[in-house]
Amino acid sequence: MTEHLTKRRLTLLTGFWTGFEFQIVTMRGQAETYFALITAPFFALLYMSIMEYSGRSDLNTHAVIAPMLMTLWTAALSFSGEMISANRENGRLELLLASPTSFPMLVFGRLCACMLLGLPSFAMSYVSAGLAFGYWMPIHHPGVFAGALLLTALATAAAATALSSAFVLTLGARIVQNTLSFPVYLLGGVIVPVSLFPGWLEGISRLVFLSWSADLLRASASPEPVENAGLHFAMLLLLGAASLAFGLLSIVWFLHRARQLGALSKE
Amino acid sequence: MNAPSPTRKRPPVKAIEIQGLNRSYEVKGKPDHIALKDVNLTIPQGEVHSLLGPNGAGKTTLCRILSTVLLPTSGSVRVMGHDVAKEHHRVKKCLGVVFGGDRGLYNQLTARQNLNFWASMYELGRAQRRRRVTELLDRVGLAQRADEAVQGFSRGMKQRLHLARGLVSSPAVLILDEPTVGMDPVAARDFRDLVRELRADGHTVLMTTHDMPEAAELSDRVSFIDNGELALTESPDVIGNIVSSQERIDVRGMTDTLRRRAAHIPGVSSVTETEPGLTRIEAEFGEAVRDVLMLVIEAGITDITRSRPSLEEVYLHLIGRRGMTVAQ
Repeated sequence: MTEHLTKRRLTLLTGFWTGFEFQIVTMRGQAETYFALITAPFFALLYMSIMEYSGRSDLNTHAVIAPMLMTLWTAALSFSGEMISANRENGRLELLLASPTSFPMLVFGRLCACMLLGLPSFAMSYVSAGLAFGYWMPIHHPGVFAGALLLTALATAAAATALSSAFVLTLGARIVQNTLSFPVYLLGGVIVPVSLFPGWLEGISRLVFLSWSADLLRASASPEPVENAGLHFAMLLLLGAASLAFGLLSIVWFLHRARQLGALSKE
Repeated sequence: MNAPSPTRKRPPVKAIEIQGLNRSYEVKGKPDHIALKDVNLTIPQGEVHSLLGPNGAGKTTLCRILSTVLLPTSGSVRVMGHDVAKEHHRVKKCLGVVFGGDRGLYNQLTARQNLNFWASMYELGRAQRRRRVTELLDRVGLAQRADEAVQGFSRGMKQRLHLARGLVSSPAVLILDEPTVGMDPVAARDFRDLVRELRADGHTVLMTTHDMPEAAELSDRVSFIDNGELALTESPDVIGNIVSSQERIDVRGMTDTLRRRAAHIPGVSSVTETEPGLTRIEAEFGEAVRDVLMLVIEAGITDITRSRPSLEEVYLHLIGRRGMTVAQ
């Protein structure tokens, strides 16, 4: 029994690392991977303009951090859908599922690698705001910033894994991708802080992990001590873990259903 | 009563064991489409087995079930003793799958990167992976193009890479679904050599193909499948006997008189001139064949060829000539 569990854990880990390594190799040679990055400096400039000319330069931090979070979510949405549908169209989905490595963990590993795009997108947003508006966002709590960034990336990958499960049985991923971008930006408090929402909406927003991420990242740029950092990290971790568990289990369920229906191949 | 001897060997596990397999698909507003109907097939370890049948006969459905990506509607399917529905993780470890066509690869990656990825998917360690990938690229003749992107490869080269992918874990059982589609004759010949090597190494191969000479040349046994049902499973050497008790004798240089005499021999069913100078005599095995041969040899003719119905003829006999029609 113990040996079986050890083997199973090894299979899950292999799936994760295989996906992670593979995605790095794939992204290196694919120009379209970086399309998500192109928007980051433009959004940074747009939001900076709004903040500066409305006299709310106290919200400049929002303008720099929002494009990074948006890039992460856009990349996650785009890759989660493409990963299943492109593999299905190219006849690879069945081959992937016929191999012993855990497919859900492969998906999660690949999506985690996609999240590495968060770093260059932050750099581009940061530099754009600095060069165009002379605002070089300070990071007063680098530990909080790094921790929040890491957990945000993992939670985004986990949420995207959950989304990808829906694409196992759904052939059209585009509609889902297009529908889920701006509502999540809004509910996640990416641009407008959740605390400014009406009470009932704030409650809903607190179920979106990005609302906790955005708070932490913005707080790390403030010289004051970060309030309730532990709670924020715990909530981010909890929501990320819940998304991951839901994502992995739902992929397993959808795959089983697809094997019953014979819906894995596109023929 | 004597207790069974502890040293008594258990019978070897069958590579593939299929019992009462049925697979149907729900079709909205119509009766279920039956893809496989009560299929029973046992393939021992080390056998090369070909599955022959027209398009839509159920060959690929069977391959998909064996490779665990499709569940049976009912019946039992075991690969190396493991149930494909309940123990699919164990089945996957002893199975290599090559589906036909040139799809299934990552075109923007090189051949080596592709194989590396698939070797990881089969849980090979880093060092083992490197060694195995190099060995396989060499084996399928792609070593010189190993570091080129697959998108520049011809269909045949992609097929070779697919084969290498299927072999990456050195599986006990290899499923090949129309593996030579799109291969040029040289590549197809190399492929046949590869299958022979695999058999010599003890691998079990289940192959679907439309290429009758290939099936006859490579297979220990062949199965004919039509409309989801197995029609026949037999060795290619004896399969002709099942559909015909006749042997054919092709003789060059027979006169009309000799042809008339041959036609009167008991057991001879037909004597026809198939092309100028070439006569085909169909006769029952045994005495009739012996009498025909004696007649011809006594007449001083030595250009004689004996043959039985080819696999293609057996196929046509069993499956019928349905032209371009796809099975329902």
